[in-house]
Amino acid sequence: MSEPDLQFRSFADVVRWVIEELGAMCPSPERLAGYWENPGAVEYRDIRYHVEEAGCPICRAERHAVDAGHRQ
Amino acid sequence: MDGDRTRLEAELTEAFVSGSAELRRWLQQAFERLYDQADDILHDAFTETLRRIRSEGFCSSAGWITYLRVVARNRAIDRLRSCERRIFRQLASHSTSGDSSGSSAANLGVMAIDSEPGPSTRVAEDERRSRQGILLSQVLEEFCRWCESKSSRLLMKEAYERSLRGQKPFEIAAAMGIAPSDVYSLLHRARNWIFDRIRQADVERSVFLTLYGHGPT
Repeated sequence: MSEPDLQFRSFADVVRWVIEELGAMCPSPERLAGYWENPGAVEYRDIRYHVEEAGCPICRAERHAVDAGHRQ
Repeated sequence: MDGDRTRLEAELTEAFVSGSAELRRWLQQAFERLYDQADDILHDAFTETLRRIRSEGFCSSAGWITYLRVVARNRAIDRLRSCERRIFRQLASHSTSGDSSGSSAANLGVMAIDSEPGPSTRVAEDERRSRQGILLSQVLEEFCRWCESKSSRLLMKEAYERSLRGQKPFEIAAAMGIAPSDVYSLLHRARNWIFDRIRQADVERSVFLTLYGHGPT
C-alpha cells in the first residue's frame, strides 16, 4: 500500500489535517443522521457548525451518498 | 445454512457491482487524499464483508451499500492513521525546532518543552514511539463521543472545534452567542479532558514524547 505524500512543518499543521481529513471531530453517525432529518434542531448546533460552517468533507460526502441512495 | 450464505454472497456482490461507481464517488469526495486508492479501499471493504458472510453468515440490516460505506470509511481512516503515525515520528525527529509553543499545542492542553535529549533518552524515546498506543485523531474522536454522551457538553465540543480550527475566544463567543468567560471555561474543561485522556490511555505519554521529546510536567 502506498501512503499519500504528506509534509507537515508544525504541530498546528497536524492538528488541522487530523480534523479536516481524518474526521477527528466528526459527530457520531447516529447524530449526523439525526441532523440531516432535522438540521434546525438546537441539539445539533455543534453539527451545524461542523458541516455548514467548517464544511467537513466527510460529513458532506455522507449526505450526498444518502441522498443518492434515496434517489435510487 | 450454506444456501443462506450463498444467497447473501450473491446479494453483496450484486450490490457492490451496481453501487461501486457511487461508492467510489463518495469515497473520493470524503477522503480526497486517498483519491487514487479508492478502488483498493473498496475492494478491501468488499472482501472483508465477504469474509464475514462466509465465516459467520453476517447479514447487514442497514443494506449492503450502507455497510460497505461504513467498512470503507474505517479502512480509509486506517490508512490515514498509518500516515499520522509516520508523521508523528517525523515531527519527533524535528521536535526541538518544531512548533511546540504554537497555539495548537496550547489548545490541546500540552506543555512545550524545548531541549535536546541525550543519546540514552533518544534511544528510549525511539523505542516508546515504536509502541505508540494512541494517536491524536483517536483522542479527539473519544472527546467527541464523550461530549455527545451528555447534551450539556455539546457547547464544549463546538467551542473546542472552533478553537482547534483557529478561532480566538472572542470570535467563538460572538459566533456562539455566549460570554467570553464562558468560552474560556469551556476550553479549559476541554483541554483538561484531553490532557487526562492522554495520561490515562497513553501510559508512556508517547504523544507528548513524539511531539516534544518529553512528557508534560
